[in-house]
Amino acid sequence: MPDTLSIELWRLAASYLFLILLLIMSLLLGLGRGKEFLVAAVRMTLQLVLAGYILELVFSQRHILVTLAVLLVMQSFALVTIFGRVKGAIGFRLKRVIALALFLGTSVPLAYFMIMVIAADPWYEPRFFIPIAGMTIGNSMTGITLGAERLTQAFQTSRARIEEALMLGATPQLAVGEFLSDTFNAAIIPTVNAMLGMGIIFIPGMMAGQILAGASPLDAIKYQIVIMMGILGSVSLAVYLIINLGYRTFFNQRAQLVNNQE
Amino acid sequence: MQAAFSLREVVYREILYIPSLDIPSGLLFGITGKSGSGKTTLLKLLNNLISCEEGEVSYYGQNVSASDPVALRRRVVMVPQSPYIFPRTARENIRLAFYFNRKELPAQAEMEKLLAVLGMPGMLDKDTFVMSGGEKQRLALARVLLLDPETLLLDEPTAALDEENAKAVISYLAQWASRPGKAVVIISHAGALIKEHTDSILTLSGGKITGMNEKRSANA
Repeated sequence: MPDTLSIELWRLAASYLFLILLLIMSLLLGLGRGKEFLVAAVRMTLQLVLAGYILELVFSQRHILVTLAVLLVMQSFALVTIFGRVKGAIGFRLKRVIALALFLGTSVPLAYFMIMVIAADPWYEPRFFIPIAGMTIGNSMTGITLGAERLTQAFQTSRARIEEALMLGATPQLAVGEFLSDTFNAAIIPTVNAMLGMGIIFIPGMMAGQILAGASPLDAIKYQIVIMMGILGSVSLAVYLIINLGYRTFFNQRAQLVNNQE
Repeated sequence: MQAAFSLREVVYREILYIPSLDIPSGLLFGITGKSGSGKTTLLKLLNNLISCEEGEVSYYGQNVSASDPVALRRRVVMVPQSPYIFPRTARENIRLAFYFNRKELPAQAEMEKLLAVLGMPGMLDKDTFVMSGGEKQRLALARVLLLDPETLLLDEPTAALDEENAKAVISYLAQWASRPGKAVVIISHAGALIKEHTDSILTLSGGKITGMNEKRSANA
């Protein structure tokens, strides 16, 4: 048995049989969504082919600026995705906080992770840096989206409650305290749930990939554990920043509620 | 006569324009006017929930815009027309008011006594979910009266009350306001009742002062 599994091109093509099956089912059920499924599959293929070539190039460069540029591009794409996914209008001040939470929340744990945990040499070694950055950014993106959405909702649906607390003499922080802890919980729960089910309910993609590529399961779990910790650190920091800086964007300096859509 | 609030050349959007107004302390100051006449906006300006675009609002000589907004709201507490009642009990509502205001919770006897005065005896642990509109309104009043701030700003505090309860509340407020260093500004449509118990009545129309009826001033 070879150590690493290399898929021949015709076998790769054979995997598309499942897509064809889905298209047939869609046709039989009269879903009328065949085009949508096809576009999704084609997009996935093209994006991954492109990513593969770019990564080949970046890995061969091993240059700090190239690696950091890739990080910046990933963060920027994540930012645009978050702005698109948060339901309801978000104001400029909250957008700024989201950007800060994403950039700080992913960069700081990532730097610690590369230097202290992985101890890669050099620390920006793209073979490690970029996949790990991808996983942390992807998970933080979900946490930030949930956090920003919950926060915006709280100010929309509980405006009377918040204003009442202000009238009774509360500082903005006291007035929204309950919402902040709720928001933090809601945003962090998917990551905590993922940890609970890990290894029993599902074998995470990264670990599965490593095992398929020939690594021993014991090495694969070590990586999976540290990655999960990295993701946890990154999501917590990003969400903490979102709620603690985010709620302030709904008040002005006079501790008055403002319309965040302005 | 010392003014609790002084307003000079106050403009707020297209809603309110007040060239000059002094609201004295030590008495019950009434505001009347039709819907949309700017009554609630005026109260919010005094509570610093909103700030005027032009002019100056001062509280005992201190410019409201230049003072610490939260510290001011702890001295000048407002009850809106439809106050938000927190879930669970009356006791929990009082506890939260004191938590927000950063004050020590009063003794249970004191809470019970005030609820009884407002016509809600034995309701300290009543679930707010099953309270009537009138009970909720009186609970909102009880919360702030127990806080005992310097000034109370009340937006239609008797709107959900029957005549008897409204009378009891207004006369209690008049008594409360007559204590040294206290002031109550009250918006009300309860015509005769408010006329009987307030010392001054300001009438607003289209955001402007159209009438000022001073029966007596605090130190007169």
